[in-house]
Amino acid sequence: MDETGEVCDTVSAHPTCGYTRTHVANTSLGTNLMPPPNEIQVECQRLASGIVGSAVSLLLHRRDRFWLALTHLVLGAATAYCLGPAVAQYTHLGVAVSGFLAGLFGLAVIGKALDMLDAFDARVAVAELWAALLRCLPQRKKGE
Amino acid sequence: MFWLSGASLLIVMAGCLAGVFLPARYYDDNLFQRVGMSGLFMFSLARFDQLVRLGELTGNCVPVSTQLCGHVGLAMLVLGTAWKARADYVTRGGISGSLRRC
Repeated sequence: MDETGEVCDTVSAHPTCGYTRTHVANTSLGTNLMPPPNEIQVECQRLASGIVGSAVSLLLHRRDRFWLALTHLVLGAATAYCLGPAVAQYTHLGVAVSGFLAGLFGLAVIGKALDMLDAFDARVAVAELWAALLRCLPQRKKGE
Repeated sequence: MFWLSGASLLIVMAGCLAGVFLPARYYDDNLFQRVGMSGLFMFSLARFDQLVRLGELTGNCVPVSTQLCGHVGLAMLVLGTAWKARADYVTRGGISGSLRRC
């Protein structure tokens, strides 16, 4: 991609920005000097990096119960597996790095969302919503 | 310029990592802030990768999709911070409460 936003056609890196069409496989963070890996290898790499990312995230956000931790790990790995290619496409980083980042941050975001759901009290929310609605309605004076 | 740019990106990345992974008793972020910091970290990492590979950036030549990731991350971080500031403002009892504490 050059400064005008056009994708470079050359196989080698663009002299100004270094991005090519095959950039995802050839960035410095995903440098691959060997022959390109086959599809199964790429999938395994994606899954493994996702699991590692989730495990690191889990270490930083400790969960008390074993089953909860295991569920989070599986969720994080699945998120990394699904979102890894999208992250690679958007950030133009290597497949492994993208999977790792997707696992790391995906699990952190999922953990926060689950914590919010845990703290959510539907009865209190409905009561507050009802009170706000009543405040918005015009008040009737006594005797009318 | 290389060192300044690199150091700034590293500071942004460290801040984002700290914001996402610090326990809630030190920094209690909300969901929007967390998503925003994640996007910003990825954008900064991609930019840092490019900076290291080229040595010097002479133009704004990060791919548009990467820039989008950074821009959306920044927007979500700002929205989350605004929401948090509003909640804090309401908790303190509006403007009179905030002024009393000044």
